[in-house]
This record gives sequence, structure tokens and C-alpha cells, in this order.
Amino acid sequence: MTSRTRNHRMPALLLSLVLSAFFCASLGAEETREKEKKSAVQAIVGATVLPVSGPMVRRGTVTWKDGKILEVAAELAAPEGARVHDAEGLYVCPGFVAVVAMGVGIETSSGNIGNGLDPWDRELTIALANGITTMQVLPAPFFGGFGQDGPLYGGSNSAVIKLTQGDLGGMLVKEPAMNYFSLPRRQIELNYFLLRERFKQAKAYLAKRAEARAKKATAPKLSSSLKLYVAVLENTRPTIFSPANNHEVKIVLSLSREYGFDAVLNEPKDAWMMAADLAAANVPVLVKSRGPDFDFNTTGPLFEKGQMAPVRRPAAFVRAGCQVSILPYRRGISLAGLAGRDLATLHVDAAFAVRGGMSNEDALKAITLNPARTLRVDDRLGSLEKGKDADLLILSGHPLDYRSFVLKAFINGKLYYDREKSRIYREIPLTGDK
Amino acid sequence: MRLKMYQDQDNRQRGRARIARLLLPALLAVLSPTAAAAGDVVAYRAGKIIRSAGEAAAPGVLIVRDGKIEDVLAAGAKTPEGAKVVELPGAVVLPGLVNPLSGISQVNFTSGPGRASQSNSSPTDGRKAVGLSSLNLKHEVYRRLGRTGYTTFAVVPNDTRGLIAGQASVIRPALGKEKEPGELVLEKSAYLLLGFSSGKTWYDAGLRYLKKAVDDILKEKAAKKKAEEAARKKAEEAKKKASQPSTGEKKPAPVPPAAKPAAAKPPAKPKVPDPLVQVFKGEKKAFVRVKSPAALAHFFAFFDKLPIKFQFVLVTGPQPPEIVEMLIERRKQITAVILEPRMGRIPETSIYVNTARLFLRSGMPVAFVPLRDTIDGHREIFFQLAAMVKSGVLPHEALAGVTSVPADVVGLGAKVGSLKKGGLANFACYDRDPLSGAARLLSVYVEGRKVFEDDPSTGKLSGEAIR
Amino acid sequence: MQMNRSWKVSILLLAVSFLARPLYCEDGAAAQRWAIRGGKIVTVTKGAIEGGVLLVSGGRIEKIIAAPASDWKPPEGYQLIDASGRWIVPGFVELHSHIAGGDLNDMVYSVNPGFRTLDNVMPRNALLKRAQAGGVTTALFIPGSGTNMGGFGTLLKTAGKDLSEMLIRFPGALKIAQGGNPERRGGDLGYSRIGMNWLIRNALKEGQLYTEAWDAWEADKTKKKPVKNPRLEMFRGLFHKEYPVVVHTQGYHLILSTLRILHDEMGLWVVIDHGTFDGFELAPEVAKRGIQVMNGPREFRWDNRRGGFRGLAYEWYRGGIKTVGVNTDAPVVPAEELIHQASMAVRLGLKEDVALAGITIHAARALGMEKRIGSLEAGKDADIVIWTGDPLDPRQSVVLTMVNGKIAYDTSKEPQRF
Repeated sequence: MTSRTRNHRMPALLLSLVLSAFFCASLGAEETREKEKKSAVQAIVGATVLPVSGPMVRRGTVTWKDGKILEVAAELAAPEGARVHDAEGLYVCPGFVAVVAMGVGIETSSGNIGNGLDPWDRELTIALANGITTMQVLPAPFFGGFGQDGPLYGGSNSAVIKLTQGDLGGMLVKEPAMNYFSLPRRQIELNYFLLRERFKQAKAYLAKRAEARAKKATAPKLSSSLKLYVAVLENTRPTIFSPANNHEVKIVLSLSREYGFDAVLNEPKDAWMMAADLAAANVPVLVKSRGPDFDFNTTGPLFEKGQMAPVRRPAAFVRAGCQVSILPYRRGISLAGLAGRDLATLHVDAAFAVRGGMSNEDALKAITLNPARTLRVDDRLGSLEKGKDADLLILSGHPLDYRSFVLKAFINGKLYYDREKSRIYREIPLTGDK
Repeated sequence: MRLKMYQDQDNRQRGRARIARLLLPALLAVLSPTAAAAGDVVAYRAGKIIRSAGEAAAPGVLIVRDGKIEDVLAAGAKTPEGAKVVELPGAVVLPGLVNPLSGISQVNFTSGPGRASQSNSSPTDGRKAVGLSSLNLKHEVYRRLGRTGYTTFAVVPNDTRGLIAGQASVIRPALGKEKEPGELVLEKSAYLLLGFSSGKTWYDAGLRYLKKAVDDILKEKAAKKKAEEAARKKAEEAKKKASQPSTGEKKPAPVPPAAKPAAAKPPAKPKVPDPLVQVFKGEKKAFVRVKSPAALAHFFAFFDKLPIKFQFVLVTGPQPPEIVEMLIERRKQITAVILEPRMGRIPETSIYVNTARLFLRSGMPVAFVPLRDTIDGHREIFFQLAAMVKSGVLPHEALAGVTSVPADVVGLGAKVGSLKKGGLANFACYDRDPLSGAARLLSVYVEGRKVFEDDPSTGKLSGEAIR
Repeated sequence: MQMNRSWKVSILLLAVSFLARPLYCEDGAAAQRWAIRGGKIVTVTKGAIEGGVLLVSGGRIEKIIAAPASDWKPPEGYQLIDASGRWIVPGFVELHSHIAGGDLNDMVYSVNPGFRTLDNVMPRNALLKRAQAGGVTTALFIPGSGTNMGGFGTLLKTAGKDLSEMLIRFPGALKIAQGGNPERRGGDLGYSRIGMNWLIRNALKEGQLYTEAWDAWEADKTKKKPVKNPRLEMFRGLFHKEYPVVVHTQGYHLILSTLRILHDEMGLWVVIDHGTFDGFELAPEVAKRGIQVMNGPREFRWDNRRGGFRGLAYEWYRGGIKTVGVNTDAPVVPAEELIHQASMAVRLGLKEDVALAGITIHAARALGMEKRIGSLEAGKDADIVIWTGDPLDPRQSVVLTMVNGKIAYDTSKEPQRF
């Protein structure tokens, strides 16, 4: 070993030590940064906060940590070391909840939805960019065609998901979310009769099963055609019906009473007239605030009987004491070009409900807390309260202002959408007075 | 003394024999294929030899002995004694190309799409299927494989769309004299091809096959451990008994039983090892093909929950940057990526990205398969690679993607994919830099034998393999 | 002369009946006089007036009192409409409506210059009643785009006792569909754009020659009297620029054909009545020719090159069409949601005052009706709509719609329709 090699070995060694130390340090720094990101407190300050569960808070602060809301208060300073989002002059509200959406965020829905979710679905990204942070998603379309049992259509393939763009881990909240029926309109009376018959059979099956359990014997076999009806009667989740008129609403309510399951009414139109029945049944309603409603004829006999313009119906159901969730005019995201007619403008549909007589507060509730309640996830989301998930929006204006855009969307406390960084609305300027 | 008559006969016979001995080599040389006979050394002198992707092309002499590469000497070096010298003036000599995933030459083969971005259809279990068993030597395609520039193919069984698609066999092009498909095979089972997609049927199949394999391994381990524990305890107890004072009976001290594991039995008849179990035990390579971003998310969600994991080569289609990022984070699990040489489009936009370049910049090795899994598709590979180079893949990365990287991922990096000592003499000669687009494939050699020649001056039709 | 009892009684009865004559009558034959006190009067052309008064008589806006005295009272004979706290806005003008009658298309022939929607108008129409509730007081009822030339459309008010009251002008406009619907799938002429453009040019040329022949005859320039042809008769007003051609045209290449053929070659007064997809990229050329664009019903384009939304009305505005408006193509978008189309144009980038002007004064001017409708100015038709607030805000609604000085919709007396 010559002196030359010896001289070269030491510096080389030192250099590699330094480099590896640097490398480890930077790795370590990255780790701590990651930890910071995860465990640090985040805060929004200076905003007009609409918690939904309480009154508006001006110059408000919202703080959260580990994905859960810590506090909502006026003029509160952000805690030490918190990551602050300045929202001076802006609005903050809970992420919107779409009570029914079709085909959004799903790559395949055969069998179940959880295994077929697509966190990079463009429609999901667009829905998130417009404030929707949670939705109940059904395979498209859920009207007609599951052929589960002869002429009756229905199923349970439904899931509540969060729109955690790019992140499969946070997406599925629960599945199945609801059972649903969509009865073919042809021979509708017969179909309701058949439905009743099926429920009878399901009830008999449940009785037999309970008996077997008591005797510690094996449970009787459940035929696949009866599975859905047994599931409805077991009532571990509600069941959506789509009655076309008040007569059918009566049928559905009587079925739910007789067989003891929780129903949800999808587009019950003028059932607000049956306020007493609805209140007694405590059944949530999903209502559109827009037409065209081809039944709604301003000069026909139905109109004279008190049929109401579609825009007024959501408010009418509120007055009747129902828990109202707003449905968008179309339940998916469309890129065809018609603006303001789908999930991307859910807040505008809520604004139309205000046009029809609802208060601003109720309208905002109808796209946040009420759908969360209907979906039975209101313990976790739907309003800005301590302990609930940090699913919230920073908006350029009041959420019911048609000009407002979502500037930032947080889900489980993590920033999933930033208008400035996203391509989606880059060509659309922010307009309007605040 | 023999009669002179017979002596003359003898002499005549001896003379004939002598003539025959002289003539025979010449005869053989004329009649036999223009290949080096056993023991022969051939020295190929060319202006540009690329020994391995990443090395500069340099003039040199490629020494081939017995179908293997002995060395690559510098241009002016002395050729070995007795070597036949073949001049390849103006030729650019590359290692023969390697396709790590092809369905070519299968029994029901029809022209097919590129194998990298095929959709998985149904989650079936084809672990017993081996590429070798569906080779059909009567099929013309085996001889024509040689005229593509590719000299090594990893062929997978025909339906590659299941959850466990099958085992890939690595083959070479046919020289025409083979009687059994096995003669083409370099490696019978180089890797197991797996696939995954989104949806409940795939998830359930994943539980049924993958999770079950893991559970079986763990059960076996647990049983083994238990048996070892039991044996150890028995040995301990025996020891204790031996150390206790005798009770007075005139019994000889009991011999402690040999510490044999209780489960030890005479070896059962040899079972064919389950390739999936081998993958989990790290004894066999695995390729996993997953096409869409959602399917990738579901695969990793499933995979992360398995108690035993394995490293694998990922086969996938073009992906947008955020997906590439997600995959780069799994560098420890994903050892290389197989892609088609084409741009990916970010969905709902007209923005194209070069997925391969994104992977390569992050240090992930990339192997390419042709866009069309046909003879012509393979011949066109360099056009496609040139397009990759145009959008940011470095030339040596493009070349490595069809030589050294695919050779490594199928486990034959020592034999093919580069012109290194001891490797097979598989090489292809082009008339200029193959990435230039105008390059013409001049000849292809497989294990030292010329399987293709395209020389306009001899009037041979382009594309005919010669015998 | 001493009046006997019966005379007195009859005079008394006459007087009582005269006084008891209803001031508000839906089928009102008599002219009514109104004093509408604001609120905010949005004139559109001359800014907003807080607390002003609109006087209406004879079906017209008689006068606007900008700053009434503190003790102001409505003049004699004028019924007060108290709109304090509300917005008073001109009725909206819809240039692309198919709901005022049945039978959208007759598609046997590829061009139908003799067809008239006047012949299938249905004035007593529930959909028009809903349009009133959306503040729409004027609509151009045109044939569909099933053929390249569907016929001539009717310009009418959305309310009135009968057609004579509702009719503003016939022909309102010619309807041409440049492409993107009239394609003849059965393989007849007009299967492709080259054929369709020929059909359009050929028909227009025929009309032009007819017009020239009659012009020459009427100017005594020729002794040969042309034959009257009802199929071509309405082309005369078209080539005299008495009314425009509204064109269903969209996308860059199609609008290019519209500019070249209809405007440059045929010299017509053109209104672009869709202008969707990437048509806005031709905005400078359209602006150069002074052509009005009514964008809709599609209001955005998903721009694949950039992976984001483009607001079409905003892009037209940016490209030089400062008078851009919107339409509904009712029933594609319900007629009452014309204002919602304007709201969406604003959301997607257009300025609010521009959006409002686009469905009032600029739409009126596109039809040559700017002297009668499209703003709240003295002398114009009393097409006045009272809103609870800013009409662009979906939370606000119409409380009263007045057409030609007669109340067609009044939420204080009937249920809300929209």
C-alpha cells in the first residue's frame, strides 16, 4: 500500500461519511416533516364560518388535528405551531354531501362498490372541485334493470364514500349504505302487491330463523331471490323507494309501518300534502328543487288541486316537518356542456330551494347535515363541530352564492383540492362581489 | 503373403479411404449449414460493437466459440489461433433483443395487442400452465422469430388475463432442425405472471388464491415450529430423566432418543412445487400486470395486507405522473417496470406524458415490449424506441430496455442481453444506429448461428430466414 | 226635461258599472295604467335607479320618474304597484325557443323556406306560462334544426289574450341549421357538410334571385312581372334585411361556413344562435362582421387540451363579442331558466351587467326590436318584471310579470310557478 493510496482513502471515507450523514439527516428531516404534516394542528382564520350545526361565526377560526375538528370560534388565534390557512374575507362551511350520486368514483360495480372504487376518476375530481366531499354512490343508473327478482327491481349495492382524490385508503366510509327499489311503472299496482308478498315471505323466513336460533339448530336456507327483502326487514340500513304519486307514498309508508323498516322517499313530489303522515313516519325525503317536471302543468287539474312548482317543493317538505336532502337535477357529472344541471352545481340547486321559500340555513343544511343524517354518517360529518371529521371547504363567497367557487377542500383534515393548483377551473376567473 | 490381387485391392481401398478422409471435411463444409462446427472459433470484426447498453459503440472483434461469447477484443487485437474471421464492415453489432413478455408462438396465436397494457378479464388460476407446453414447433412463426432482431423471448401461456396467468418459458428462435419444443427452451419457468384488476371478483379470487397460499405457508411454518418445539421438549425431558439418580433397579441408563423432529418421515415422492408458493417464498420471480390506476390502488390495498410479500416486476400501461409517483414510492417492492413504448395521455385531457421517462428519471429500470405482439411488431421496435427517445428517454436507456433490463428481469442476465464473456452468442447487425429510424437489420445470430440475413447484393428476399 | 225614475236608475247603474269595472283583468281589453314604485329600477341601458317610479299606460312605458318627491302619490287613474325593496327589470328576450307550439320539424325536404311557425303557434301554452314566471316576455319561436332551413320563425310576447295581442312580428327570422343535426342519414343529398352547404346556398340563391326580380319590377326597371311564389316570398324581407337569419351553428369549421356563405356571400343579417364547442375561437372574425352571438344551451366546454372548463359566453366576450347573450333552446333547457343560463355564464366568467344586457337590449337589437323592447325606457313596451332581488341570483324569484302593460303573472294572486 503506497502512501498515495493511503492519502486518498481517508478523504474518501470522510466524504462518504459526510454524505451518508447528510442523506440520513435529510431522510430524517423528511420523516419529521411527514410527522408534522400528520400530527400538526391546522387552522383557518379570519373567515365567515357556517358550521351548519350552529349560527354563522364572523372572523372565525376553525382548527383541526389528526383529521378531526378541534374547535370553531370567533376571533380565536391559531395555536402555536399550527399550519395556518388565511381565509380573510372568505367563507368556510362543511363539505357538501350528495345524498345520491350515480357512477361517480367507480371503475367497476359488479359485486360491490368498495373493491371497484377509482380514486382518480375525473368525475370525482370535478365533484370535489365543486365542494362535494362525501356522497352515496350507486352504480349508474339505479332506476330499472337489476333483475334481482322477476319484475321487481332493487338491490343493495351502494356505498358512502369520501372524495379523497388519489387516495383509496380514505375513500370508503361504509357499504352497503342503503337498499333501494325501483318498481317498473307498468302494472305498478301489481308490483306493489308482489312487493308486499315478498315482504310476507321474508317475515316468515325471519321468524323461522329466529326459532332455529333459539333451538340452536341450523338456520333455514335463504333463497337468493328473498335475500334483498330479508335485508330490508332486518333494517340494518334504510331502504329508498321512488313513489310516483301520493297514493304510492301511502303504500310505501304503510309497508314500512307494517314490516317495521326505515324508508327513505326519493322524489316524493307532492307528498308534502301528507305532512301528518310523513311526520309520524319520520321518513327522510330526497327532493329536487328543479324541473322540468312534466307532471307540473300550470293549467291542469293537478295544479288546481294544489300541485306545486318543483322549486317550491323542498320548502314545502321542510314546513311539513321532514328531513330534506337536496338532489341535483342530474345525479352524475356531465361534460356535455349544459351548465348548472348536475352534481357540479349542487349549491346552485340548494339556492333554487331558497327561491322556493326555504331559508338559507335550511338550504345549506339540506346539502350537508341532512344528507349526512339520511346516510347515517352524521356522527362523523355534515357540520363543523368538535370531534367530527375535518371535511371542510374554503369558498370565495357564501356557499349558496351562485358565483362562489371552492378554493380549497379538506377531507379528514388533508388538503385534497386547491383551485390555484388544479387545472379544472384555471380558465375561469373568480367573479362577483364578496 | 497375400495374393498381389488382394494387395492391390487393399491399396486401392486404402487410397479411397485416404481420398475420402481428405474430401470429407470439404464435403461437410459444403453440405452443412454455414455454421461453425464444434470446436470452431469465429471472429466477427465490425466497425461498431455495442457490448452492452450504456457502453459506447466501438470497433472491435467479437470472438465466438461453441455458440458462446468468448470475448470482445479491441479493433487491432490479434484473433485467436484457427479462428475463422467474418468481416462485418459498416455493421453496428448489438446484443440480440430480449422480449420479457410475449404470447407469440402460442397454439391459438393470432395477432395480438401489446401484452403490457392488455386488460385482465377474469380472475382464473392458471398456475400450472407453462409457456413451453403450448409451443407448437410446426408453427412457421418459430423460424421467423429470428428475423426480427430479437433472439430471446419469454413466452407466456395463451390466456394471460387471469389472476394467475401462468409460468413463462424463455425460448430462442428455431433453427429448423429441432424435433422437440424443449430444444428451444433456455429456461422452462422463468417467472410466474400474475394479474389484478378492480372489483369484487378479483378481490375474492385474490383471497382464494394469494391469501390462501400465504396462509398455507404460515400454517406449514407454524406446524414445523410446533414440531421442533415438541422435539426439543422431548429431548429436554429425556435429558432430565438421564440426569436423575437411578431408582435402584438394575436397568441400564436409558439412551436418550436421538433428537429427531417428530414430523420427520421418510421423504414422500417428489411433488411438483407450487409456483405461487415459490413466489411467496422468494424462490421464483413474479411479474404482476395491473392496468388502470384504480386497479393499481386496489392491488396495493390487497397486497399490503398480506402477511408475506414478494418483490415483483410490474407490467402496466401508460400512466399519468401522480400514478408514477405512487409506484416509485414502492421501489422496494417493484424491482422493474415493463411498458409499451408509447406515450400516456392524462385522462380527459390531450396532455401526453412519457411514462417510461418518468420512471427512468426516478431510477426505476424499464423494459419495453413491442406495441404489437407479432413478427412485424417486433421488427418495428426501434421506431417505437426512437419515439421514446424523442420525448426524453436517453438512447442507452431505450436500448437497455430491450436488452439488458429484460434479460435481468427474466433471470438470464448472465446469458443474454449483452455481449459478455460466457454469454450466448446472440447478436444482431444493423447497417447504422438502430435508433436512427432508417436502420436496416442486416443479420441475426442465435448461439453463433446465423438465422437471418438480409443482403440486397445477394438478391435474397428481405425477411427470409436462411438455413 | 225631468228625468223619470228609470232614467235615473239606468244612469246610476251605468255609473256603478263604470266604477266597478275591474282594473286588473287578465283578458283585459281596456288599456291599464300603472305606477310601479321601486325598489331598484334596472333600466339596462341607463343604469339603475333606486326608489324611482315607472309609469305605464297604453301598453307602453310612459315615463320614468327618477327621484319622486317624498310626498309623491300615483297620478289619477294609475294603479299603484308597490315594489319597494324589489328589483324592476325589463322582460327577457329569448332568441331560441321551440315551446310556443307543436311540430318542431318537417323533414321531408332538406330546405323549407315556405314553412312558417306562425301556422303552428299555440298561444295558450302552459310552457309559455312558466316562461313568464322566469321573467321571459319575448320569445322567437323557430323551427327545429332537423333540416338545413326549417322555415321562418315568429317573434311574439309570452303573454296576451290571443295571438294578435302576442304577435310582435312575422317573419321574426329565418332559421338555418348549418350542420350538426340536419345530416341526412339515409344517404340523400345533405348527408355531409359539403352537401348541406350546397343546399343552403342554393336555396338562398333562389331567394336572392326572386328578391331581385321583384325589386326590379317594383322599381319599374323591367316589364316582365315575376311570378308570385309563396315558397320564396319571405326571402324578400330577408334580403332587404327587414329580419335576420338566426343560425344553429357551432364549432369552428361550421361557424366559418356561416360567416362565409350567409354573411359574406349572401349579405344577410346574421345572428349566431348556439356558438358552442370551440366556436369562440372565431370570435375576432365574428366581431369584425358585427354579428351577434347568443350562446347556448351548452355554456361550457371541457377543454381536452388543457384538462379544464372553458366558459363559452366569457370566451366569446373575450374574443370581441361584447354584446354576447345566452339562450335556452327550450325545451332543452326549460324556457323559464333563461336567467339561469345567464347566471351560469356569469359563474363561468362573464360579467354580471354584460350577462343581463345580453338577454335584454342586445337580444332585442339582434332582432331589430331595440326600439320596442329590451330596456326600461320611456316609449318602450311595458314588458316589466318585478323580482325579489338580483335576477341572476337563483335564490331570487319573479313576483310579477307584465307584458304590454298587462299583468300576466302575479304571485300575490296565484301560486309561484318558478
